[in-house]
Amino acid sequence: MAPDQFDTLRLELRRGCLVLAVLAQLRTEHYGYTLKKDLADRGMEIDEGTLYPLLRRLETQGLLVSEWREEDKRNKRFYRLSPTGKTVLNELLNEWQNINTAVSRIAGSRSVA
Amino acid sequence: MDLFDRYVFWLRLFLPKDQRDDIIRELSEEYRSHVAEKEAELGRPLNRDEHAGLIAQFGHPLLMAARYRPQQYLVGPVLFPFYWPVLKVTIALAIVVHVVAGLVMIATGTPFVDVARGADQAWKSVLAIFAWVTIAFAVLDHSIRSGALKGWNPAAAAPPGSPQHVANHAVTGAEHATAAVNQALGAVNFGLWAVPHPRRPARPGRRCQPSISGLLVGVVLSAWWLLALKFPALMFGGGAAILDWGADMHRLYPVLVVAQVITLAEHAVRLMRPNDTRVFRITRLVWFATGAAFLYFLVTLDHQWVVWRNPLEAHAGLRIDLINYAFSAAFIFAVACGAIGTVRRIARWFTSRRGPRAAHA
Repeated sequence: MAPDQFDTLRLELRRGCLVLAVLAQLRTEHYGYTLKKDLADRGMEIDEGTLYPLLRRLETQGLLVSEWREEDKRNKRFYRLSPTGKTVLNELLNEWQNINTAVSRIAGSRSVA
Repeated sequence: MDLFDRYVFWLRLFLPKDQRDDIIRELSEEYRSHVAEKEAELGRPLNRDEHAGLIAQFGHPLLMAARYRPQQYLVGPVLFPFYWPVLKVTIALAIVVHVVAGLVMIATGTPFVDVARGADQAWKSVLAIFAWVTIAFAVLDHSIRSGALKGWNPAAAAPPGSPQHVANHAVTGAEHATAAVNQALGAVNFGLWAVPHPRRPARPGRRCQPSISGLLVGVVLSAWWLLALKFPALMFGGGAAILDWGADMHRLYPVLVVAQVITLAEHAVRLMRPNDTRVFRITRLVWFATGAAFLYFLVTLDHQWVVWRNPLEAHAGLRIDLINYAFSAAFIFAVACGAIGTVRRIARWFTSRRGPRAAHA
């Protein structure tokens, strides 16, 4: 497979996973920079150009709430899951488990040449 | 101005207005946190290259700003495969019309100024076609995104080739010809309406099924034909410099509008609600009324469809009466085809009244 093809498929695969990872990480309050660091520490790298617009979109969809607050003498925008976001996250995690189980079963039962 | 200020300056230009200040404020604070942490880690201020490296992670200002906006497009991926060929075909047709008209003008010794004036109209026609095709598709795309196809019921569609399907979808050659002459005065439209249908029943008689491509081409050509009556350059090409529509064509205009709308509506219904026979009964009635009105005008009017823009100018080699005869012939052909179609339909109705066995015999 050409590298370009792999990158495209990898991006498609990661796109949905990123939303899930961000929502799951925001069960506890974070601001953008610490969220990015925590995600990276857990193996989910995300660049700024993707993270901040994503946070804004999830907030517009009502899945996150945010507030400006001062911390370490600096104003920061803190994000956390909204009540709707918590419900959606639980449903998405269930779906993720189902997909993960199904794909493991399928991939495990077939040899990859 | 440091590198990040420069980045923010460009980013601000592309961000949505209502969120601009808030987004810039957030990104600036995040950037400063990032820099402070890096500097604490290194024990020294960051140099220019290190700043540039951090800023690069935000991405190009245009791309970064685009991610804050909802995805917007006029014609989306669902309709684009139809939009592009329709646009190419219609623009190619317009260019052919202009080229042929220009050649005719040159061959008949029309003054160069008039030929040049006609050529000047060509790009305006192409631009108008591009605009109208795009608008038509944008409206269709919007209706699809608004959920126009969500209520689609597979059970409502009769299987291809079934008697019911053939009965509801059958379009006779006469009907094609009527629609064709109505829409583009003849052969061009007839060909385009007839060609895109992918499947034809084995039974002879030029019956074919409606298709999305046929409908879309029909929409575009109808728009072209109706607009051409308002903007003669779309029909005459370069000839619009010396030709204009006559009073009789303007009298016929409402009938043509009804004919176009009913043709397209019926095609759309055949495509989307093939079993809704009530609609076909209504469209048949409107077709009949339109045909009768057409016939009335053909009998009572003076057939002055086209006139010289300036009657006092001499136009060597061009006879306006011949052009009007051609138009009259096309209209008479359309009415005759419509009459044949009506007679055949009445005959079919009588046959079907005799019973299903007789009808299939």
